Amino acid sequence: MYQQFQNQNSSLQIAYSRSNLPVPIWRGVQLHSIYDPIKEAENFITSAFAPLREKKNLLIFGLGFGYHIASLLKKLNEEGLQTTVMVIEPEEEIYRKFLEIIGPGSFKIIAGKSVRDLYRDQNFIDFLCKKPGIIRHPASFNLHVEYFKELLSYRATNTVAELREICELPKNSELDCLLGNFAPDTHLFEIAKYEVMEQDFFLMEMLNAISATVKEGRA
Amino acid sequence: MKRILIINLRRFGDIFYSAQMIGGLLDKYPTAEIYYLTYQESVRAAHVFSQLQGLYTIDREKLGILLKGGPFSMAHAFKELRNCLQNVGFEWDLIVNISNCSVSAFLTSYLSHAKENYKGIRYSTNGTLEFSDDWIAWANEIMVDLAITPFSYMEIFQKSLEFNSNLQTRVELVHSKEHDISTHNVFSKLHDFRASEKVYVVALQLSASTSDKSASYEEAVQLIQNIFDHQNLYPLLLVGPSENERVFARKLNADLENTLFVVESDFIGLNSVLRTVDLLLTVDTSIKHLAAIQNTKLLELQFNTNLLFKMPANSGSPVVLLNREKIDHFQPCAQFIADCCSHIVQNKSLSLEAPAGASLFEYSLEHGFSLIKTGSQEIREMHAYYSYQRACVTFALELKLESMLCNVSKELLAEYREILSNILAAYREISQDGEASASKIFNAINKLEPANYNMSPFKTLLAVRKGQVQSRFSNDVESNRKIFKEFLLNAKDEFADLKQLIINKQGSVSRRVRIPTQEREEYEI
Repeated sequence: MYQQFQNQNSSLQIAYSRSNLPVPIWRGVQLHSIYDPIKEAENFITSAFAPLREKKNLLIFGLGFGYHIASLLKKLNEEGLQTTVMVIEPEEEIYRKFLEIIGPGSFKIIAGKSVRDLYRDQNFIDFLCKKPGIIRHPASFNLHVEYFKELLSYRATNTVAELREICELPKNSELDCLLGNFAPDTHLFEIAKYEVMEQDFFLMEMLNAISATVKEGRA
Repeated sequence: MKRILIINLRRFGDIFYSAQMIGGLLDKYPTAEIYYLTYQESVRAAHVFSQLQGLYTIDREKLGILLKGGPFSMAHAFKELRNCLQNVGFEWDLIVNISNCSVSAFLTSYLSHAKENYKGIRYSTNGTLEFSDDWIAWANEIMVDLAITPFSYMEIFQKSLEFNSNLQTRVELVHSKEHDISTHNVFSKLHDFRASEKVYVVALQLSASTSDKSASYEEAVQLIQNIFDHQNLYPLLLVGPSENERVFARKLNADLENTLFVVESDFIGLNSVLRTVDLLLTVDTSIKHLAAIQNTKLLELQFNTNLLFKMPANSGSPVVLLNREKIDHFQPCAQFIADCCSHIVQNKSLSLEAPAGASLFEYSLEHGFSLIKTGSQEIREMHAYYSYQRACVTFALELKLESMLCNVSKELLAEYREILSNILAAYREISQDGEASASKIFNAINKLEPANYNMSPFKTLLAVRKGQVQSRFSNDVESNRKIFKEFLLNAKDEFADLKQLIINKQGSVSRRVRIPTQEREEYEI
């Protein structure tokens, strides 16, 4: 019925659709239609995009071989929309094979990162701050449902240890030494209440004050 | 060459208002490089200043998202903020924090850490609020609680930075050539339209941020109609780029049979318009300050008495205060305002009789608001109180004694004696008790206030010094006691100087012979 690429050591197999387009199969689960992946993607995007038309940024859960993303970009282009697209793909191998067979696209991809590492990725954080609309590629999402659930329910710890990691502080830098006075699980609100305010602690207090003004604004 | 950073984390009106600060700084330090730090959401207002060397921004919206919690860590916000401020750096000769809010105070502490290169407020390393000088301390310790503001915040900073009251340096604004040309073309046609006699174009901005500050629809119609009907005035309605204002303008224009010129523009475009019109009549503070920067003649309308003395524009600008509760018919007020407009554009003095509910003021940097016309006793009293407070504060902080205070000097001297006696009592109490507790010091400070709670120079100075000494207190009670004793001695001397000035001004020999009593009191301390 269709040609199949097989590598016994890999979880990834490549099949070819009736329309002769490559379709990734991850651990036996095919990520696009084996009949007509483009048609399937167009139908999917028509319904998934409609409620997100006003969004300037879209976050796609699952890359597959990107037929749904190509369809989305085509739709954005047709409608003259300047929307930025970022794709999260849990499996690096799928991404590598995508690059090899399909080639890079005009969208950002973050692949193969754990959820925890994703929340340490500045590009991802910056993108989330733009309040993107989320499109879930059904086959990829169902395949990595635990990963995406974790991604959506992730909670930061706001601890000294987290600050060290996120800020990637150089060892023995002034702030690194200051933080050395606190247990790694100390909450960041607590360090601002330290008896003597060090220079960087003023920024912590400043953030507390900004947080209050933002809340007031919302109220 | 001085590098100066102005921190202003407020909205458009306050950003335009800070032009007076930029002008003052350039006047005082002609070769200074001035930089500006504001929120991203307000930066387009700061873009109009052409003399700034650089603009820095903090993206409050992004920080707000990062501080919401959930998946975002406070560490993300910290990293973002630190990155924003990395470009700002710490190499400043002077940091002027004109925001006067806790966010800007922490920011100033961060940027001026271990230096004394700031003006305004910041937090000390023990977390208490620090004031750069007496004026800033007064504004934060006392002015915030006053019903009437005797000095605007910009005046406070002008005093704090010791600016000359007669500023020479003009703040220059960014102009768009394209806007200048198109505005000029439109206005030449407007003048041609009524070319038989000299016609002055009055731009009207009748919407403000809240409805109580804005002209109502009926008031707007009457105002515009009166300007239309005036023999040498022609109205032009200014609207901001918002749908509400467009709807307001469309409705007005439909009622005025589409005869009204309506101009919608952003801030840069507005500069061109304001340069071309003969007068701006406005209820909005942002545009008022923008007009004041380029010396466009202006008449401000205020509907809210409480806001009257808060944000004056340039010297010489008049304000009409309208008390809606006292106005039965708006027509006489609209007529009065149109007449005021006519007098202002023709440089005539404003000697018109104010109708019921209307009062006319004029503002100057040196004397504050002068009351020109009012029919209201309440407004007269409010203005007298404003002037008295102003005189008290100036005397306490700058030793400038006005005749107004000389008239009440007997009461002032009585108050001086009461405060001095309180200082002596506090000093004795603290000196005699070898184990003063923190609460004892606190109580002693509170007991310094005189029983009479009216405004006076002595109370002003006392409150300023109290604010300053309390910010120096730490957890060490013994050190606090020492600081407090030192404070009492200094306050006593300062108060004696104030008293002496009043006595000298009065020329009362009988009071001067009382000096030995004063010396005896000093000896006791």
